[in-house]
Amino acid sequence: MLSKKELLKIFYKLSIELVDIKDLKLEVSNYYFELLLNEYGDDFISLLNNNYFGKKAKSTSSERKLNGLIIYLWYTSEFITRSELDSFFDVSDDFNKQNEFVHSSPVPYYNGLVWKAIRAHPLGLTGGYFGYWKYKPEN
Amino acid sequence: MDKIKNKKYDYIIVGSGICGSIAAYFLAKFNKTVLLLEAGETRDKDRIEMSGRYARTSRKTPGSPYVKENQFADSPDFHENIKNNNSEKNKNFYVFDIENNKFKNVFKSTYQRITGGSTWHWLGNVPRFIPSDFKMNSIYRVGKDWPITYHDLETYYCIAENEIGVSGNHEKWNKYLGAYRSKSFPMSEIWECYADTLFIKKVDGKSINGKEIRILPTPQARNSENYDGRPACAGNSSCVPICPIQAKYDATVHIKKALKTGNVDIIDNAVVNKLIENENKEIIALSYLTLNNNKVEIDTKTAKVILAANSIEIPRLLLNSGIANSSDQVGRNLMDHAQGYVTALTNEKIYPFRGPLTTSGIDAFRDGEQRKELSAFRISIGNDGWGRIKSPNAVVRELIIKENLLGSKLYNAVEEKVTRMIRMSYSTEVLPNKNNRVTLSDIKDNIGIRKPKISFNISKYNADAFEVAKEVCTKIFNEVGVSELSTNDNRDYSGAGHIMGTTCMGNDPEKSVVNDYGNSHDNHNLYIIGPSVFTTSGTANPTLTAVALTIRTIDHLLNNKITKNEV
Ligand SMILES: Cc1cc2nc3c(=O)[nH]c(=O)nc-3n(C[C@H](O)[C@H](O)[C@H](O)COP(=O)(O)OP(=O)(O)OC[C@H]3O[C@@H](n4cnc5c(N)ncnc54)[C@H](O)[C@@H]3O)c2cc1C
Ligand code: SF4
Repeated sequence: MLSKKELLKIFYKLSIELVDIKDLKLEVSNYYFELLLNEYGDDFISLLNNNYFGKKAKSTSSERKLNGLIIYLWYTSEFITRSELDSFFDVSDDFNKQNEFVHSSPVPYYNGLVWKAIRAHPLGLTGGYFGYWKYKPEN
Repeated sequence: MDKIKNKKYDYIIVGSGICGSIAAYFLAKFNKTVLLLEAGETRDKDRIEMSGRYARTSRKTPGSPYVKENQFADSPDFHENIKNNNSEKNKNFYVFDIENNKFKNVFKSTYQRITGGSTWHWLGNVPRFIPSDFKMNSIYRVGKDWPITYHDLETYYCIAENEIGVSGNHEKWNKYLGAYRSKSFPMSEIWECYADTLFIKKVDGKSINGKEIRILPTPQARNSENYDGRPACAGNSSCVPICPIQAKYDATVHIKKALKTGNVDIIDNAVVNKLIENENKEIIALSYLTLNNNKVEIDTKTAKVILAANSIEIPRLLLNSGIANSSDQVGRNLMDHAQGYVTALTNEKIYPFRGPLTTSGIDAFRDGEQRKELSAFRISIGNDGWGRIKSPNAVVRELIIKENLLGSKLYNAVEEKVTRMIRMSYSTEVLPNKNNRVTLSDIKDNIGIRKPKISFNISKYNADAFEVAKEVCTKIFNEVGVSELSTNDNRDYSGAGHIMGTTCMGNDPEKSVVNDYGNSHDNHNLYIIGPSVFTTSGTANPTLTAVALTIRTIDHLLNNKITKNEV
């Protein structure tokens, strides 16, 4: 039985592996861990255990889904609940988040990887000085 | 409260949105006493908290920053976000007249009930109407003529631009489409976004469908420098639903100024539900409901009553009171701008989501002979990817679930796609039509007032314009260099949030609700201000014109003190 401290570490490591970005914010990782644990309980623990004990190759479809929504969470801070899971993974469906999920802090949103990837800034945070938008983003 | 209740005011204004608050400010500045009754709550100290809520919530809609448990006065904007409205009866804020509707999208435009009104979540684009917009019938034989002209309003447009704080380019706009400007904008234009520079390079000056295309900086109620104690826009890119730094104008600016005069009292959480007239058609009292569901009555015998509660709530109140409707025109001629879009991926990266959500537009199609047959339209170039059609989050989801991407492949694919996403949206003029209307439903809202029932169809005049607008956008995109062009099904058009009409102005008391000063033809001490008095809808976003009309009305009530500038 792994301790919570160990599970937190595994989750952080797994997250880095899934998104291939080294400097993920630990505070956000710990927060996401709690969210996922609350919503996905044993499934989540088993994902972390399997990951730790090197059973990744045999991952089940439900584990693949969990991986997918962990990636999605890191990119967008949008938390997919169990009841939304099927619709989220339905390729024929335009998923529209219906459940209003409100995080306890804006930090996860501000750290969404999508903004970094598109060289913008989270909507609601300034991107700099007046007029910066006229130019290409700096490297 | 009792002190306020028993005080005699010169004016009682219902609604503290941009029109109500600017009216209150000018009246108070010229020593009139004003009581402002506001259905929503005063929350200007919550701006940071509300911006934070926007960041925290996963459903980012125009209402998301403002959601509060147990909201007293419901509104369509707020309603979208509350969970406890799953019953069929309460699913929508509006009751829709589905039977008589041909289109999927009945009417989705929203508004806010909060002190300061809907400018909290507006985008803040403020082009003027053009002269021909006021003369649709005499020039194009469609729609109606306004009882006033562009010329009658020009001075008031200038005052409105100064009050709101508009950034724009005088040289480019002066006399364009016949709309002369007697004064410069108070601030120079908001700089165009990076995508616009590509459009300027590739299409500016070219001829498309017989019109010279000019990529024009949209006049915006957003500061390009420090103005009126508010900072320059810093490109937070969240103008809809909230500007965290108030670089974008909202009506709390004028509420503060009005209160500072000492001549204005405001009561919030006060939903006015009835006006009462005597046999001389004088409004002698009004009543409002308070938080604890008390009903308070106010004597208005010595006051003038000004309704500024927007184009849905004003007819709702009048119909509920049986007032000002001898013409049977209250609630009729509901208008909006019917919108569609064309999306694409640009060949070059254009890096959207940096800066205001749109900074330029194409206005060439806002006028011309085609208006005899089909609606004029205004095109805006988005700086927000595919806007409502597909968010960056939706792209991430697709890449995860359809392409099974993760790690750096996902990161690169997100960059590759989202940095090229662009939309052009076109807004078409909806003509006045007596069957597009607000009536009262038998279903009541959370505080027992009959809900607004909406009947709304768009006509062939708009549907034909959609086709031309799509063709124009496609040609422009082809000049810019794009792939993956896509557009909406015409039945799936959207509204613009530009709710107009329902108490239209006119000279004939049998065919209109108010005269050109917003004075009710039936009730001499009743005035109406806001986009509900528009005779036709033009193609410009409506609020600047509504404010110019408001200032004209107040100037009239003050014997032209505003224009004479006698303080
Ligand atoms: C998403 C969005 C974007 C928009 N962007 C633009 C834009 O870029 N440019 C533009 O020109 N327009 C835009 N608009 C439209 C613009 O917001 C409105 O035209 C404008 O705010 C109307 O101002 P108003 O003062 O008439 O009404 P409102 O701002 O709606 O104010 C009415 C006030 O009356 C109060 N009230 C209502 N009923 C009662 C009652 N019974 N008793 C007491 N008080 C009451 C309300 O609480 C509210 O405070 C946008 C709208 C939306 C939804
Ligand atoms: S871009 Fe940002 S700072 Fe500028 S007006 Fe919009 S929200 Fe405010």
